[in-house]
Amino acid sequence: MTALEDALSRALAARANAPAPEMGDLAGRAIAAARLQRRFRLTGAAAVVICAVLAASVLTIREPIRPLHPSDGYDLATPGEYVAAVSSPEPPAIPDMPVDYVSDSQLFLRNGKSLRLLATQVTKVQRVPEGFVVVERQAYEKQRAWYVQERTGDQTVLLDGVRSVAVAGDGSGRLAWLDGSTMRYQESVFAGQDKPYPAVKLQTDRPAFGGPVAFVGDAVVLADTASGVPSRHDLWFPDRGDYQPTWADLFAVYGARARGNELVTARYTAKKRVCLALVPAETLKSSDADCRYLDRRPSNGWVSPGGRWLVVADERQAQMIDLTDDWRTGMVVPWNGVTWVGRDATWLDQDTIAVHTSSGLMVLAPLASSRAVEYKLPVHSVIVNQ
Amino acid sequence: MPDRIDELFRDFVASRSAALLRTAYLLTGDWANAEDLLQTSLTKTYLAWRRLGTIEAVEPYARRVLVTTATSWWRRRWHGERPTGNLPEFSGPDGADERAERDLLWRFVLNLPPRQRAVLVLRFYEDLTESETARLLEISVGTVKSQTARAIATLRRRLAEEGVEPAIRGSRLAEAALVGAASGCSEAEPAVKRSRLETGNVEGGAR
Repeated sequence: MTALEDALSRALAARANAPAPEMGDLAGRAIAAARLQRRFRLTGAAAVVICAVLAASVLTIREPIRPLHPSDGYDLATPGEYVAAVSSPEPPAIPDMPVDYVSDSQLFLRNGKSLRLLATQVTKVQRVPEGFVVVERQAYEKQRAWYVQERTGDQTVLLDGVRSVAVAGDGSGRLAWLDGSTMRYQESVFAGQDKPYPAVKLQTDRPAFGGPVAFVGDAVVLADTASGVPSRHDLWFPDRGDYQPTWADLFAVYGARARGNELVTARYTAKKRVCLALVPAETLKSSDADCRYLDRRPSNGWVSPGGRWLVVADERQAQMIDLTDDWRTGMVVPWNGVTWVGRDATWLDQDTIAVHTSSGLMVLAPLASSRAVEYKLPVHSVIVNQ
Repeated sequence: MPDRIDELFRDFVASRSAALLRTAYLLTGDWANAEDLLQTSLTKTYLAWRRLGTIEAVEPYARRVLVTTATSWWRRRWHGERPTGNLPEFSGPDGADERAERDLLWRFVLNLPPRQRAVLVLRFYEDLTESETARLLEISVGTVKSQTARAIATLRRRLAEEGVEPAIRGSRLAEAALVGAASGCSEAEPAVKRSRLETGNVEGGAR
């Protein structure tokens, strides 16, 4: 054990040995809460059945294993029908909205509060310690990033006049972006600061094409969008030094498995088939033997925080795939009237995702009694990744 | 049957809740959230009691729920936990130097990402092995190693930014913290400058 580890061990032990508060009847409270949850589950299940029978308003789909295919799936009630029964009042007064969101420069929080943002054309919002990182679009494809402190509403410009800003989805507040001929990476300390304190700043030469779009584990994901849509992806590991181009013909990197060294990706094969595959982060290479095929290219996809689920969605349906069970399709939710699926989505827990579509917020959970619920959202809104 | 389960559950809580609460506190950095986390964990444990089968399986399950819940990124109200300027008083045989060292480290630990913090707590507070930690967090041993290494590197770097050589315990670390604290809102800079002058060689950090 090094001196630092030894000091850490003692620091943790000392901190843990500080006087703890009196917990009262903890067991009693836990038992009561558990019983309440059981009752709620039973009541909820009954309510779902009643709603389904009486109003055809709750979407309950349970599909066997099958590929994403345009002709598959049930013809569901139109969004307007099932929204009416399960959704909430008109925004912004949405008491049961499960996510925070931005609409018209106003950040609406689930606790009922709202904040007026200085950013006007918000494209991305990520929750970070004690606040939010907000990215807005500027003229000439440039971007500005703000830190918005939740408690005080103070807003600080983090980046201005830069391009291709990526914000880590794990809430750490890591940023990567392009600044002229340079690609930059920054870790900030948000908690306990008047304004964010940049703890780590790194830079390297920018790639010839494309730029940062996301993070997976320790790596910055770069996308080449020269053709208008991402056609290739690459990784930059800031803690390993300068960026070395090793572009792979992946049109999507959806996330990483829990182990962090495998990425969930999509590409076209030589025969133009859509191939989902796990690829090593080190090489970004896979063979066709590793492919799980889809019938068409998803609009977007997301990997759950625990690495179990991949959700792919397009204008026709969403599909949940269990990555821990040999790509078994857990659930398929066809939908009607959806004209686009946004990139802004957020996982509400390890198994539940809220996806932003043209029809509103779709909440999907393969393990829940009700399989999908839709909430109304203002048309031009952005979901906070929480 | 429920009465019997309640009885066993109460016995379990009475015997293990104090230890679990301490772990919860290290994971969340705040007693109120630690209580909330522990109650959530115990509620899930109670619900799973029959499925767990044996009493030996209960504590590992409760601990796993505790840690996985704490590291869940979506529990947004825990993202901002940090030590305040008014650290709780606690007595011990050591002096101000070591308290300052612990406080500084604790502050940096709280600013680590939740998963890294959890790995450190399990490895260096719970004294779990890498494989035990991996099993509890349901990740690979390699990930435990890399997360630990990253966390330690971050702590080392932050200490270096405070002008402190991590390998040398005691006076300089304490001095850095105390000088920084005395300077008010800009805690780090005076300590850094002073220490650099004294040592002439500050570790540059891992990156």
